[in-house]
Amino acid sequence: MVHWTDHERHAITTLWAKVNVEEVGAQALVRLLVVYPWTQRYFASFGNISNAAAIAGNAKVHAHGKTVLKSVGDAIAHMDDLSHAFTKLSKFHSETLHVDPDNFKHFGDCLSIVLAATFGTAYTPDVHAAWQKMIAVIISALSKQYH
Amino acid sequence: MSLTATDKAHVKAIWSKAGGKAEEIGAEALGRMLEVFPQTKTYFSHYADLSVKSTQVRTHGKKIIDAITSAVNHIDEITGTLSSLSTLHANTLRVDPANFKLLSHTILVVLALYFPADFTPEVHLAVDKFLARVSHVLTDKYR
Repeated sequence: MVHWTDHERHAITTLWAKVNVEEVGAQALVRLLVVYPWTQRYFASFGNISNAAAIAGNAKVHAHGKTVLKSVGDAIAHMDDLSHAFTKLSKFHSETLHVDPDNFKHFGDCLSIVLAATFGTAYTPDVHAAWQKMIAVIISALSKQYH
Repeated sequence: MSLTATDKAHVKAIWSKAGGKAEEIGAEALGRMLEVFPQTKTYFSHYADLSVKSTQVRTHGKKIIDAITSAVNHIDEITGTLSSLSTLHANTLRVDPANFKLLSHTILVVLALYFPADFTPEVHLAVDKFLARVSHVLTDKYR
């Protein structure tokens, strides 16, 4: 069980309310595939992701970015019991998708950067810290069922 | 993961904007590192104020950004340019190698924050590689 201060909860939920899930999700996933190109190994079925321009314009990448960000929203809704809430999703990543959990951290870093680019000075150090903690909790929950 | 000519061009372009705001960017990157990754505070127990606004954090943040600027300006000779800083980190500062990734991350966040239009995915990639190279040089003499 994670301990959240009122300030952290407020910082996370307030910012989340302003997030355009489709936009931010797409941008974060585009960055993952461009900045950490080895992650493209998981997306062979997405068509042309051979260069930055192709990745940025790829409709499947955009759609999947939205899917991933929606799960971040679910995580926030279950932030007090995320390990339990994400049991199935964790098993799915481990047993079906076979994703190396190190990649969760790469995506988390990209998400933090996209939030900074989107919200600018509103992404204050304390809001940034609360979000990095949320991201760390999500990564831990997603990694939990790996064996 | 060596720097391509394109990477070097991207780094120089974004840094031409960042270098001029060295104190601001340095303070934000360092201050955010201390807040987001509290274990890093252990290296600054002698600072009275660890916030982004602190004079000590601003001064030190600027020092860090200025050092990175010199690496950008001598991007083909990073090892030589940062040699004495590398010795300092190995013998005196002895910052655990894991921490370089943390400061590199907050530098990227701050660049995205200040220059959202310029900090494209390709520029992000280039700067990430460049900072990894700088970190490698700075920890090179550790053992």
